[in-house]
Amino acid sequence: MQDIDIHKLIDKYFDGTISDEQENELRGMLLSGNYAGEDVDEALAVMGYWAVRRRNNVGGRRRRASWAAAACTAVAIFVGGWAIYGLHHDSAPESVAYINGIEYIGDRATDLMDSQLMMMSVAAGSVEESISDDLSVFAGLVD
Amino acid sequence: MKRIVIALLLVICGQLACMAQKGLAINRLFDGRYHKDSCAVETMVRGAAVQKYDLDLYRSVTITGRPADANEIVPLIRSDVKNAVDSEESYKNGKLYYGFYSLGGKQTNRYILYLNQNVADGDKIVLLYLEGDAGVKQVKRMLKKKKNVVNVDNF
Repeated sequence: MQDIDIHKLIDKYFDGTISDEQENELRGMLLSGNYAGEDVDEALAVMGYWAVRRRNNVGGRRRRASWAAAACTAVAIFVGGWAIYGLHHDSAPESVAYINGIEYIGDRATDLMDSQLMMMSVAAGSVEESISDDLSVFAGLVD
Repeated sequence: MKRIVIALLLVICGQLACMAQKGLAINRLFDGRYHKDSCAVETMVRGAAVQKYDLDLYRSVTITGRPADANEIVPLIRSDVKNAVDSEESYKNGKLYYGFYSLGGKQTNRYILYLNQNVADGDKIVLLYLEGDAGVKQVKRMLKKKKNVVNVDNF
């Protein structure tokens, strides 16, 4: 409907029968950027509005860039979320041990963890004892 | 548009860097090389078994009767602990016997523990990697508790 109106207005414009009010209306329609066609381009050229319309289109480009930025941000958040989720919720078993090429899942791994921590604790304890021995030597010297 | 693509790539690279077990040199020891090694045992524990210690991840490699492996492991540890926020080391016969290193971390604390019994009276090399919310004191307390268990068992 709008399309028909603008073509009628353009015809009137070129016939010289268009009123001032209609010409203003036509100018607004042409600059809105919502219409296309040979007669629209011709009317824009004759009325000298090409530059204005192109400038208006820059706004459209900016809007497209904003959408692209929003889309990229959404993708980045998705990838980031997926990466973090994957770190904590991958499908690997909670406890696994490899002994002589055999995979053990569950208690065997936690038992190994306990025995390794015990070895470490004994070593850490020996370090503390060694420090304590060293200090006691110096304590003997200080009177 | 180019800027957006570059920003997106940077974000993705950042996330991938986080995934790649945080870029530690010792990580190459957990690449599966010990899975079929008859002298080695590799473990990985997550979930409830380590949550009681306020940890998210426990990884270890134990190598028995192969003291030369320390020559590969120690330099990797050295490279990882350059910026350690807390460290404790003990040497025997001129070689690293025991090391406790807290690497700190922004979101989670990371620890490397190393023991080479070959330089004392044993035949094992043990390397641990711990990750979680536990602070240095908590981890040391956990070790002390284990020591008490050993003492009670011996008694």
